Amino acid sequence: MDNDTDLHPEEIHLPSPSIAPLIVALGMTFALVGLLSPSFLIAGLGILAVGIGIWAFTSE
Amino acid sequence: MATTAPTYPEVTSAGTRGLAGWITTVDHKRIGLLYLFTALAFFILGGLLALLIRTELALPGGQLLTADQYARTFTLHGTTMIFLFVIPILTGLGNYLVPLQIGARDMAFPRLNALSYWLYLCGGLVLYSSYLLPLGPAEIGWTGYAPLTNPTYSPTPGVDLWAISLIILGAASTMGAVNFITTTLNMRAPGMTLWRLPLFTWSVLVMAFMVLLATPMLTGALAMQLADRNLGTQFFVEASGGDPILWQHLFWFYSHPAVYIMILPAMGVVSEVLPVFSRKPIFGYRAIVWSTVAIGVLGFATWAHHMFTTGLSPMLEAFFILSTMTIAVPTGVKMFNWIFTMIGGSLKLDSPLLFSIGFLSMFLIGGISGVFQAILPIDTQLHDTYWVVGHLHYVLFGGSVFGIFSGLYFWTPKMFGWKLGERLGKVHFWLMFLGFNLTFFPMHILGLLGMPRRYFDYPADRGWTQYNQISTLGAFMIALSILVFAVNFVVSARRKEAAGDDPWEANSLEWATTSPPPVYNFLRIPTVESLRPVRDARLKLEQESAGAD
Repeated sequence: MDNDTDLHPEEIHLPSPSIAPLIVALGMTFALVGLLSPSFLIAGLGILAVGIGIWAFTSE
Repeated sequence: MATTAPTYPEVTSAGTRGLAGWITTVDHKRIGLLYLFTALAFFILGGLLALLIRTELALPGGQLLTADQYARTFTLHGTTMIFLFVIPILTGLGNYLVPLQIGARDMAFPRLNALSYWLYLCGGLVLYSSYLLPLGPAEIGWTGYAPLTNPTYSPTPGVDLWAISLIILGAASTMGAVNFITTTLNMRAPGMTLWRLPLFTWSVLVMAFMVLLATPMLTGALAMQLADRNLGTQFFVEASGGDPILWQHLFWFYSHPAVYIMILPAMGVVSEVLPVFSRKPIFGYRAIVWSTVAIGVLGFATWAHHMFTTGLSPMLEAFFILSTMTIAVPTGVKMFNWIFTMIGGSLKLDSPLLFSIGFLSMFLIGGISGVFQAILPIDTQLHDTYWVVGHLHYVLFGGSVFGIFSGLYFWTPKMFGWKLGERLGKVHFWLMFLGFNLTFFPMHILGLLGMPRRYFDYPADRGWTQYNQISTLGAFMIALSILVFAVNFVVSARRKEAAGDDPWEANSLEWATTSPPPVYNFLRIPTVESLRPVRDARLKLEQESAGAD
């Protein structure tokens, strides 16, 4: 292993924290439980749309 | 290795602190820890259900549970332990370790990784939400066989929630598998060829391919089951031209590979622990890799050995007998490699090695009893008896769970910067080892005596009572051992005695960074030149120090 050739480390870019995965997961769960109850389905699809929107329009 | 103080890099997109930091995290290490702690919480829930089962069976006659309550309890126990504990905790270990072991900064798709975790948690909550239903959770066992899942026999929507929760968990697993495969194949550090991959990472890679190929089959079957129950389809209804046996084929096409999905990463843990605590290189690295791949392939050719009593054609029966016996070969190769790794080594009998040896010995018994069941006339007699319960626990508890605890003791210093206490670790091991054998070995005898599985009561005159009592005693010993582990964790976390970056003098890249690792994992991405990069760097440093003296 060789990791001491350059002691001047580069700038490290890491992905930003995001609430989108949690919202998408909740949306998917409610939508699937909605197979048993239309109100859950509607709520789930709404939450899913919000989650996908946040996911798509915030940069990593 | 650097001998001067490093300059720390500028990190863009730093994480958020506090609870919000955990909820919004996309860092593979934090997600790995979330998996580990959630899975351990489900392990405790599933274990409490097991104690209810064992208390009920301690004596003939109803003690604690009605027949319905008993059926719900063993359904949720099995589903929890497989889908909410063993598979996710190994996914958690993989999440934490794979990027570190291959020299990457994170998983390939960090947000998808977080989505996998949240779907896993939601799937578990959906399953347990069925306790809120007036008719309660499903009473169908973890196998959910048709026609028992038909609304005529199972009117509770708990069955629907069971199926929906498994679909959600399947989606989580599939996303995780895509992430593991992409990360391992595309994000390795310079010099980290496939033949230099740590064996744990190899096992996670093969496991991920199995998840990717097998899970859609279960998801499809669950969708068909939901359609039968809610949309009037008749896929599994014999009277309408459907076929209940079709469910078993679809279910086991996923669930037999799932046994290897649960055991391969545990084998990976053992393959990492044994060489470190034997102070030797792993014996037959390439043989272990090829055996892992062979198990991954053959795992898809053995599913119908669960169905010998359903009336398969003799040709199919012969094929599945042969394939089931064949899969013992690569497993046997690994077993010999692990034993030869220890032979001649300077064994350090710390907790990680004890649990790995527990894995070897208990999984061996589970594997051998599995070969018994591959023989059709024997399987016909033992099918649906307590023998099968004993066998599957020797594989999944004796194998996977001992492997998991070996990994937890081994990698706790890396995750938290402190070691778990060695004395309590040994108490934990011996209580669990003894309790495990007291619980599950008598089940083989009960099976041979004809005790069926999934019955909440049994007659007093069959000679089964004393074996059930031993089994119940053992179950409470296992519970005590878990309590010891919890105390050990809390006490060690409070003491916070610094373990150092490489307390075991280990081999693979995760030990090259600090404990716990920084958010970016490595100050600089290392270049890998051997199979044991950290050990080689350590020896080089020692030689340079000796030369300077």
